[in-house]
Order: sequence, then structure tokens, then C-alpha cells
Amino acid sequence: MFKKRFKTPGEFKAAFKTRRRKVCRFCEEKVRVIGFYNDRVLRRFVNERGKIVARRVSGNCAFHQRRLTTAIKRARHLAIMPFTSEYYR
Amino acid sequence: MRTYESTFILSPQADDAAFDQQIKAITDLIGNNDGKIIKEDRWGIRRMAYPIKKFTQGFYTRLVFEGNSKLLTELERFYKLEDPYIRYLTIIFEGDPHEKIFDDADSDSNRAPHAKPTEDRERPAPARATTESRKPDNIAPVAIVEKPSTETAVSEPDGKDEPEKTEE
Ligand SMILES: [Zn+2]
Repeated sequence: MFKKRFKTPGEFKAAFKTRRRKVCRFCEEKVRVIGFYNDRVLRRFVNERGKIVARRVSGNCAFHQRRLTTAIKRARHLAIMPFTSEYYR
Repeated sequence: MRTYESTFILSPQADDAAFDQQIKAITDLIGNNDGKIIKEDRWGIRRMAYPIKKFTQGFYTRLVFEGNSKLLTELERFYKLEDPYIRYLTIIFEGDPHEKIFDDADSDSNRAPHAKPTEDRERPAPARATTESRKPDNIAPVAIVEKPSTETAVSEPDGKDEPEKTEE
């Protein structure tokens, strides 16, 4: 179905080749501990509704996604982060 | 003994003296139960992401302390009993307690102490040294080796990225 958008297999391949390689931003920065109090960082990994962005979208590695999820949930408990955005409530 | 951190939100309907007294109640409780306060950080009154007990703001305080499990149960019991503590969270402290962590959340405090950028750049140096040492006149090997190694470490990934960027 999706392949129909590309006329040749080469075009299909090229579309994927040009896509930017995703790297875990926490690995890049060599972050070990993701603090729940650090809402400026946490907010980058939730969508407008306040939902945690999937790993395949954000490009985080499994280790850091797990840590990030814990941090966001802790932040929500302390009302540092919203469970859901005010707008959608 | 383990290192824990406890963050709590105080009801905003109080003055500074009351906040002081309510925070002191917690630090005293920790001290009286063989605990030791390592760090106390008052964030002050902050807007909350959603209302808790009909309050839209709260006074945040974060404590890092050493203690045993008995202290934790006492602490939990105290939070539950006393009204001004509208929300609390006690977790195992993961950072280095002697590191400066509260001033700027974005600073290198969250980074691993061994993770220095220079470490990565030192690795290609020995490989370069062997190629360089083939030359008979090696006057200052250290000075010559150090510079190109850092250059290659930086420029190589850049060179690979460039064609990708132009395609986009
Ligand atoms: Zn990672």
C-alpha cells in the first residue's frame, strides 16, 4: 500500500535513506539521571495533550525512554507536569 | 542506610513563618529517626499543572537525606496525618549527593561524572601515533599527534552528515 507512492524500488529506498537518523538525545548528552523536577527537558517528550511521545518518534533508546517515562510520571504526581492538557479537559 | 529524596507540596494558604515551621517539622522528623539531611531545596510557591485539593499553587520543597526504612514509614505516616502537606513523593536518590544539583536542572549535574567529552577524543590518538611514528624525524610527537586526532574526531561524522543534509 505504502509502496505504491514510490514508482521504483530505488525511489522507495531513497526516501528512507534521506530520512534523518534518529539518535537518543540523552545518550548524546551522556545523561545518566533524568530528574522529575527537570520539566523543561521532560516537556520536550510529551505531545500537546501531555501524552508521552513514543520511542519510535522521539528516537530515544530503550534505557532512556524507560527512565524518561518514570520521570514524567513522577512529575505528574507532583503536578509539575500535566496528566492531560487543560485545553483538552 | 540509603539516600532518599522527598519532595512535598505545602498548602499555599500560609505565611513564610508557617512554611518554615512545616519544613522544619519534616527535617526534625528525619533527624529524630537516625536520618541525616544532605540537601534542602526550597522551590517556593509554584503554579501546579492541575489543581490539588482545590489549590492551583503550592509551596514546593525537596529534601535529600540518608535514612532507614523505619524513617520512611514514619515520614509517610506524618505526611498523611498533617493537612498542609497536600502532595508528597519519596524516592531513592540516584545522583551523587555531593554534586551540586539544584541550582540549574539543565547543568552537567545530571551527567555521569566519568562522561567527559575529552575521553572520546583521546581514543583515536594512539592509532594516529603509530602512523606518525613511521616518520624518522619525530621532533615533538605529543604536540603533533594531539591536534590531528581531535580534528579527525570532529570532522569525520560531519563529512558523513553533509550529503544527507543537502538531500533534505
Ligand atoms: Zn539513550
